[in-house]
Amino acid sequence: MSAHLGAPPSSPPPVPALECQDLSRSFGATRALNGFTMSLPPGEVIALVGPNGSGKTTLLLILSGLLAPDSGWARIGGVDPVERPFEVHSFVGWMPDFFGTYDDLTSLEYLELFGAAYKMPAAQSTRRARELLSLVRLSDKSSSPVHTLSRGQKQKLGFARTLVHSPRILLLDEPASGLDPRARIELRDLVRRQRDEGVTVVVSSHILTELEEMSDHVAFVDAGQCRGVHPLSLLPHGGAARRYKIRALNDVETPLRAAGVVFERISPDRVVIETINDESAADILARLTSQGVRVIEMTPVGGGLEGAFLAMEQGDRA
Amino acid sequence: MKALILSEIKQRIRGKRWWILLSLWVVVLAGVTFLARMAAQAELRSFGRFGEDVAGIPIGPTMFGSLMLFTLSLICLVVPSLSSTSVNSERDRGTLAVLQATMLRPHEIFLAKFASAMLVALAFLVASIPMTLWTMLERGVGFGRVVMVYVVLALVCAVLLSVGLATSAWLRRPALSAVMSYAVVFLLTIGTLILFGVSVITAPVERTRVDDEFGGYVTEERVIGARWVILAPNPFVVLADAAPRSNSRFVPDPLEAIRDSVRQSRRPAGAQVPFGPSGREPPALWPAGISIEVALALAAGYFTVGRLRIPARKLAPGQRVA
Ligand SMILES: Nc1ncnc2c1ncn2[C@@H]1O[C@H](COP(=O)(O)OP(=O)(O)OP(=O)(O)O)[C@@H](O)[C@H]1O
Ligand SMILES: [Mg+2]
Repeated sequence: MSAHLGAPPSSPPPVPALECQDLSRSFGATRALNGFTMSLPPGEVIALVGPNGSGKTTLLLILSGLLAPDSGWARIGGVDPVERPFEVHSFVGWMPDFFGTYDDLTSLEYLELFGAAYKMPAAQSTRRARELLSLVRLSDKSSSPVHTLSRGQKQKLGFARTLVHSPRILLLDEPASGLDPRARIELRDLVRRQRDEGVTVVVSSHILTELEEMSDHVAFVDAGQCRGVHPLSLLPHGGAARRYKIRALNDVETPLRAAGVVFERISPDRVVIETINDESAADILARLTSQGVRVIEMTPVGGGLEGAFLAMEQGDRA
Repeated sequence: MKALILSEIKQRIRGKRWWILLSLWVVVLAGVTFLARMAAQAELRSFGRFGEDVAGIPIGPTMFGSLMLFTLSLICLVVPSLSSTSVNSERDRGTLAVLQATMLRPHEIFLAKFASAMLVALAFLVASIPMTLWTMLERGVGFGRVVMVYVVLALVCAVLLSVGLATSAWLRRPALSAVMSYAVVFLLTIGTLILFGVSVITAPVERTRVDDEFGGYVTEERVIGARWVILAPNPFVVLADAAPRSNSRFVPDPLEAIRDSVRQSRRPAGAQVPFGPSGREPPALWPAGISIEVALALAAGYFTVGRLRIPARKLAPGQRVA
């Protein structure tokens, strides 16, 4: 579990890095965003969490000035991305969930190209490109053509690209997809380092344990709306709906039912229980063992974020 | 900009394919020039048999005209493909949105794509220069004529590229936009010819009675009016019409032949003059033709830049920004 590392709670509320009000955007009959309202603090890592198709990518496209909303407004770093997209680009780095690369360029040339696209002088963009390649540990690939890179390496190169102009706000759309565990840890460290340098990072991902380890805040997105922004340390359901998987050698359901514990049967010898907190989980375990249930395994299912995510989805279905 | 242009050029001339195409281009044009030379010499010989003094008659115009008409045909085949999938294939590959998210303005992206494609097209034109020099060595082809023709060829390339870019910015699927750009080429070349033909045969006929000592007769004349404008943007018409006359004797000059026949469409009503080196020529079509083509290129460019503008409001069905 990560600690909340943001500004101390006593300081006055900072000017939001990112604000949107009633954003709506439809694609044909699909309402990708439906009155999205949100405000995010600066200098933190904010996880954008929501089910597939909930509008995260669409939101990031609007914030990066590439897509116009049908209605509503947004401010990023105090600038309206609809009115002044290029000003937004000067301080925002955007990494799409899917992107291609120019295959005939080497990694170094690729980053230099983007340096030029940010109107840097050639010498500076070369220096910056080398710096970034070593930051994402691709220095040894600097003269390999981009198409020879592995998917994960391309992903890292894409991340390096978003940093070319040293942005103060990063919008990362599923940056961890395709990365192996080690690369994910590297990415997490890179993101934290950016945060420590004062960069605001908005990151969407489906790998919740991952997000949990790098974010300070979490913004829940569902059906094109924001369902609240919370400090990760104070997840609304995080502590509450703890779920544990229990595996036993003999019947576990009868004692659980007798104790009035809410549970879900996975297989004859496996159940998932839902408890209020860790205390009561310990109580349940003590009770089961005292009643002769031979428990051989009891593990928490998912992190706080996963619990909160599932709770949000369930609340939705109800 | 420069970096972007270079990367775009790299994509276009990647690998062996490009060199094969370029060599093929040179071989075909050299072959055409050679065949034209043989034809012109045969023509001279046959005149010689009838006692004409053909010694020293330059055959350059025949060779040059054939070479340039063929070059233009190949341009119509090759050049659209340099740009007609440029925008939508980048959308497909997911490389466009990340460029649009930089400080590059839409017109810069357009210009980079246009300039890089144009440089490749110019490389093809440059590859035809040795054959042109050969035709000049055969005499009868003035320097001014060569310059004028090359300017027109470059201009046609620019127009086709701009139109190609517009189709690729308009249609989501590269295959469709490629077809569409060739449809435009078809319209400009064969289409204008057919349309002009149809418009002429459906033009009103003016009949006038002329009385003379034998009782009179009726003259008929089609009133073509401004219908020549349909023909004007045809690249072949512009090319031939803009080339100064070579006034070649004994050997045919294809450019001049086209020029003389298309200018018939601007013959003032009632003027039956056969014209030639001595006669007064009707006015030229090419200023109008070039204006129409340039307008087309500018409109296509404006449209493309509009399609690259951010933030995007309307997306083509099924198109994703990223
Ligand atoms: N260009 C588009 N054309 C049509 N529909 C679109 C387009 N872009 C998004 N949508 C639709 O809008 C909704 C939201 O899409 P979006 O990509 O924002 O979701 P997401 O939260 O990023 O999902 P995921 O977690 O799967 O990446 C989806 O239903 C999607 O099908
Ligand atoms: Mg997405």
